[in-house]
Amino acid sequence: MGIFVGGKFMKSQGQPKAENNLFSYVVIISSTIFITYFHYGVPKHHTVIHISHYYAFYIIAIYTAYRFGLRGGFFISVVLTGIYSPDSYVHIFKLDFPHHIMPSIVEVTMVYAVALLAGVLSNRLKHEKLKVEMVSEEMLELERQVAHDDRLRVLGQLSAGIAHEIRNPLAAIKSGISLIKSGKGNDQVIDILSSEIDQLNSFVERFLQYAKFGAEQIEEFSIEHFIMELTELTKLSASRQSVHIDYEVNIPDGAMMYGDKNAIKQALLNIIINGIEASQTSEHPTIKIWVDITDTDIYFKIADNGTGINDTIVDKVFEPFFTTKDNGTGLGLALARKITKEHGGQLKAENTADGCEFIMEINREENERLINRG
Amino acid sequence: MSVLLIEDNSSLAQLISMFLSSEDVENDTAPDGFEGLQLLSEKEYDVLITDIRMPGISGHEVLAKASELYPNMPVIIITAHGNIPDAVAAIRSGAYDYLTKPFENEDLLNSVKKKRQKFAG
Repeated sequence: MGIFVGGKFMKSQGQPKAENNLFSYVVIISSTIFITYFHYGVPKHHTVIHISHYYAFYIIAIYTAYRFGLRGGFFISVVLTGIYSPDSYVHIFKLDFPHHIMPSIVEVTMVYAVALLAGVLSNRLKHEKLKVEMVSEEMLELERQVAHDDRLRVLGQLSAGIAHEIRNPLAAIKSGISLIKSGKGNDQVIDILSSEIDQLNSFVERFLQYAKFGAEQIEEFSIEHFIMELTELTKLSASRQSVHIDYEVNIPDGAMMYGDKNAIKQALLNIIINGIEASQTSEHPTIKIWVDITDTDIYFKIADNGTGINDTIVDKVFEPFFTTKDNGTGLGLALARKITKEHGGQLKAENTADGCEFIMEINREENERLINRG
Repeated sequence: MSVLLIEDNSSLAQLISMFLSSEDVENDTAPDGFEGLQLLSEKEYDVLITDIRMPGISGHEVLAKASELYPNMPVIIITAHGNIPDAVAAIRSGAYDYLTKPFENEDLLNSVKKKRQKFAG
């Protein structure tokens, strides 16, 4: 699955470092004791056994070097070769190299060579791993920033609608109060004021419920309620533009979906906002939002009647930072595709006879797995 | 003096209408651009007040068509989306005043009277 925006799908891999180290110490010490026992306990004429535990020392040396780097490799080489052939050290210190000790000295040297080589490679591997982790962390931070910027962009688009929904009742309230203050008010004016205050409160309640961008949470949610919330936000997004929005929703009662509802809302809203902008070139700007569900998939289709996407760039529109708008960031559709993938789906764009159509296709089986992972 | 008010928020339209009537300003209201243009085609008003964002025909379209019908009729824009570029665009399109909601009844009345005097003079 990878890393989700905001990092909520990223899980820590493996056990904590201290526990890992303890496990390694136990393995290294116990296997060393075990092999040492055979080395000194088995009569020397059992050559095969002695050759076997000689190679087993290599395995311990490599494992230790892998776990604890060059220093670990050197330390275990001293211990293992000291156990395996203390005579070699005595002869080396005395600078006395009789013929019979030479094979042991070569074997001791080989253990050092293997352990030190493994240690060097292990250090290099750890260094590379650290670099990869740092890059991943930077990428995660970048993704968070991109998601945040996109949320601000969508909220900016909604702000015009919010202004409309709030300032109209406020204008009526101000006008009504002015009438009352000048002695021209009556019960009808008071009733209107009361109704406008209720309308304002109702809008604020709905907005607080619907516009929870950034509140990341994996949950099971009703598709029907989701569409109601999306409709409300679409209305706000379209507030400044003259556009007709058609809905066709073919879903059974109680149909559910899984994942981060707000992230999907943000993805779809991005596409809708793009569609609204694109359709402004038409004499009768229209957006069609079509929702359907089959045994295997959930479909959200958003079609506009703009000029469509040039065939040469239709594959590029989901690439990050690709934009054809003067003030575009090129992040909206890239993020929408990423969110779709993270919910077990795919996002496609196609030119149609009237304009352009975006299809978000969520595989239900893969989508359902999210609730177990999240 | 006669005023046509085109405003899709019925409560606001009702209250402005009550206020204008209390100030002896004869007025008609229309809930959208379509009905507003219908009324304009039947009768010339001294002042037109129109919202911008309305279902169907927008205030900008109303402004353009009203200017064609009655080039000397002052048009006052009232909008919830007040910002400088919008105001400049509206004035360039022929509007004579631009009020951002919520506004004072008196401000609207002053605007109506001022425009009327200017055009009458």
